[in-house]
Amino acid sequence: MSRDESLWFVIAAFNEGPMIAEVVRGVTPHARVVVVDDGSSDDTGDQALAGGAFVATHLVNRGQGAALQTGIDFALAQGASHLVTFDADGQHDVAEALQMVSVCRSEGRDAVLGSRFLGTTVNMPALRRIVIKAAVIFTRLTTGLRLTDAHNGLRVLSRDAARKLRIRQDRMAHASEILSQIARLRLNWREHPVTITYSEYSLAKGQKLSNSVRILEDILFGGRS
Amino acid sequence: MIVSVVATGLFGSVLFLAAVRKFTFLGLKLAVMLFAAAGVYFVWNPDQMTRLAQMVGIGRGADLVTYATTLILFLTVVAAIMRERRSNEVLTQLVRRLAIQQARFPEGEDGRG
Repeated sequence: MSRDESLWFVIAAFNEGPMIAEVVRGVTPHARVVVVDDGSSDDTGDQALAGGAFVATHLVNRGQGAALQTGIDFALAQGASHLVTFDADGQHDVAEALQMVSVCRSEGRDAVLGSRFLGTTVNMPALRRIVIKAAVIFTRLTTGLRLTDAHNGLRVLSRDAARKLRIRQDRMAHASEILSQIARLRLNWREHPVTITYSEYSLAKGQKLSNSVRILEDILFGGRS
Repeated sequence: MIVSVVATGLFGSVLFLAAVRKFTFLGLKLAVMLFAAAGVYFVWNPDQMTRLAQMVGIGRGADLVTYATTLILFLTVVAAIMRERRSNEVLTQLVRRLAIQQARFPEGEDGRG
């Protein structure tokens, strides 16, 4: 497959030095990549640049939501026609992301959301499954979206949808915020099965259960002030 | 006696500061000054405080002071949290603007494909 210059992968990275270059290299043959280095203390930015990504650097850590919005702004300014939000830790599969893009294009969707429960999970811890299922129920109650997965970082957005979305939740609550905006803006979305691979690296970097309390707090009290 | 003098000093300072400082709202300035002046008065006339408390259905003047203090502290904390939220949003926008302006491009790329 030849490289699609109007397709941008947006990756938020905080201290992902050991993996980021490899993740970026997996994408660059197919699409352009912007890595937002969210104030890392390691060499994340240099590694991403070496891997062939555009690198926007947050001088101060602002959180994953803030970093994604920065990357989306950058990609839109560079003329992106479709955007993929992609995790920095190698949990996602590039081929599946590209499939989602072609689904998004051929069906004329605003958004295609990855679902690990329609797809497969590799080495998913039981506790994480329970937490995410709880988030799915929470999302159904608060947004009315009948999703099978929540907080899945793999999404495809059309340029139009990306311009309408505005992430104001700087930290992890952005995943819920994106869904509630998709519901409010009545975007034309669908889910697509994806594989999430839980490696030792991604598990060490990933969400801890205790963070869900913080996310809930951000949703309830954060954002629009 | 000593406590009364210290309290008078504190309320007096607040009164003075409120008088010389600029406020966004004149109403707030007057409210703070009135509050401080009332503080000085009631420190020396605690019985009046009790009378005032009984007028609003509270037993003792000291209880009224406790309730008022709690309420003011609560409002102050809420105002501080909202201020922090706003400055966080501003900081994020600033950091984002800088990040995009100073983005590094990979070899062989000049942007805008």
